[in-house]
Amino acid sequence: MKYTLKINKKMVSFELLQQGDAYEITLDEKEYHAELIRIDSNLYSLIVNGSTYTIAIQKEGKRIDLFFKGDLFSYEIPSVRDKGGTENTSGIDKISAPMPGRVVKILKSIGDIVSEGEGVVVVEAMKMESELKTTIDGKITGISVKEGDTVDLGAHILTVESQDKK
Amino acid sequence: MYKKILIANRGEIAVRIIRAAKELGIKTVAVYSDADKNSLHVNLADEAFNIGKPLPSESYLVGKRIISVAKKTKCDGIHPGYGFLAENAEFAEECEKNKIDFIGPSPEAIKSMGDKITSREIAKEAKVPLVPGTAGEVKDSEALEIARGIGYPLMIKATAGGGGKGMRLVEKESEFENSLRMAKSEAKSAFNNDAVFIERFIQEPRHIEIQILGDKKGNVVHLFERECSIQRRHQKVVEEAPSPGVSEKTRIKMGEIAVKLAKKVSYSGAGTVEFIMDQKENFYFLEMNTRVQVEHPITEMITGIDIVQEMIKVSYGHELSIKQEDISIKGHAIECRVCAEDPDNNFLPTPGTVIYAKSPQGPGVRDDSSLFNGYEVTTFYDPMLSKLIVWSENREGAIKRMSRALSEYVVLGVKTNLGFLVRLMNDKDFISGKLDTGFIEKHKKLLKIPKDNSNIATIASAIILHSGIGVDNLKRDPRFTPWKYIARGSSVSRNSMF
Repeated sequence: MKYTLKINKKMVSFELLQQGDAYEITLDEKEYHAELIRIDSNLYSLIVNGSTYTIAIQKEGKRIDLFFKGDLFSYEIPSVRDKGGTENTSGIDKISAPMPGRVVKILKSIGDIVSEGEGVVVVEAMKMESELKTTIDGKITGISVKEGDTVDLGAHILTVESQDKK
Repeated sequence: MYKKILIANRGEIAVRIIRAAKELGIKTVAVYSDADKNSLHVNLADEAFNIGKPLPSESYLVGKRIISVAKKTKCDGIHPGYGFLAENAEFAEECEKNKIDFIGPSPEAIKSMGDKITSREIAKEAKVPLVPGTAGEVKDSEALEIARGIGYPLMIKATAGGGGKGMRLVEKESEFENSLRMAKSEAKSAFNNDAVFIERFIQEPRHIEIQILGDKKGNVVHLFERECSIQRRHQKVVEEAPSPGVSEKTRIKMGEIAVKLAKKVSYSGAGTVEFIMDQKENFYFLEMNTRVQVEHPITEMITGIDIVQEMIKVSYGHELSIKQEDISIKGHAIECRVCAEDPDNNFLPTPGTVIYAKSPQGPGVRDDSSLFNGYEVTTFYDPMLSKLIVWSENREGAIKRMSRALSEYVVLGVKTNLGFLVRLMNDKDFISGKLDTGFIEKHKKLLKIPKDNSNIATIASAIILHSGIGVDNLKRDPRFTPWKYIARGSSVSRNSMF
């Protein structure tokens, strides 16, 4: 899943893939294998490619403060509109949950060819069903949920990959 | 001994004085502004009274109100700390008139040493070396001629100045007239007094100061020097004792001169004689601070003398408990001022609320702080959060210890200079000890967060953004305890822990 965040007023982009308790993160074209373990109310142990770091973290409203080696890094949790819904970067459309809810119906299967604007999944949140659409022409390459699953805000649902990219 | 004293200050120094008083068996009265009602000094004192609004001129600077609290609570002494009323001779006189001891030097000593020009004259009489320059205010009409006589580069300084305001460096004659005009207008707006004086500019100067202690019986001792060359905005940020740039010979000479100067004004209490020193150890008198200094703890660490307790005792009339020949330097001490400020943005203060703070511990570490979770950094007061002090047997050990202690410090909620201080302690030029007051200016890379560090922060941010801050491995895995974490060395992957 791709994210863009404004940390200390600087924009950073990264890609994240969760595998159980661990994460594969791509940042500046480098890959990191990372785990984050809470060890005290505000203290976390971060393990990156085998090295451990102590980080202090505090959430204050929408703001997250991270403290590492004497420096403070702050960012705001992006609003639902910024974070959820569909993302379309470099020919890959990763569709994620725009808010916490339940997957009602998956309209496509892996390998299906879809075109821009086509509905691919129906989710229910706050007693309303809405259809999530792809923003690109391509092929369904990944589905992370099954019908009936509950999903958290930002959870990955489905990936569409552009064909002419390959 | 005093029965009860009032502490006319706030923050860490109020806490420091309360601690000293408690150890001497003296009751304490704190005063506080509306902004400070939840402060540590209010909490620690035996009694506490609100003296007004947050603005210092409506609380901590209102001498009359403070004296009336002292009278009401039957205090027999007032300790002013540093800043606020500490060097205010009228306040010291008011205390005397109300039969309350001002714990500090006499009003006369404050008056004569507090004014830069008077103190310079006294220093001259006492044959204390002075930076070549004008003894007093220069007239505009004569300024250029005088400047020629002193030679370039030179400094124009406000006579009422401090904190770098009304100060201008002039490299060559063609810049002089313009700089003079600017210094004067800055002095006028900062101090309502546009008088300036001129003196030679010392290249790559070190700021060296001598701690002295005097009693009311005419005894004065010095407690050696402190190096305070690491400055930003002309204000100290790291101090150490002894100085890595002062030889034994210079140390003795400086100490003797400081004592001579203090005796000249019958100085009692704690005071600091500040010198500017070039890289060849030529030193010149700068000014005298007639109060306890922010950085006094490093001197306490290397001499074993409790300066604040001594101040209280000599003010009461006790003779100094120590003689010069009994005082020696043991080991090395460093102080870092931990401030709510942004090194990467001209060290501008960063007001806000400290939502979480954790101070370092372990051998040789002292944290003089008034910090607590929920502490408000306001624009009314200095952004200093704490003074982190370490002691070790030598300078190398002290630097390593400071680096270790700083890396244990955690402050969430406001930006601080902690990261900068960590980088400074690991800088090879700082470690080499070749310091001067332009050090930070010459080492600007220390102000920036290294890319590797921001990458680590980004990785942690990524995980939190994806999984939420609520993911709690403490709860999820009952086998996990902080003890396992502490026992684990670095670079061990998580899998091997369980």
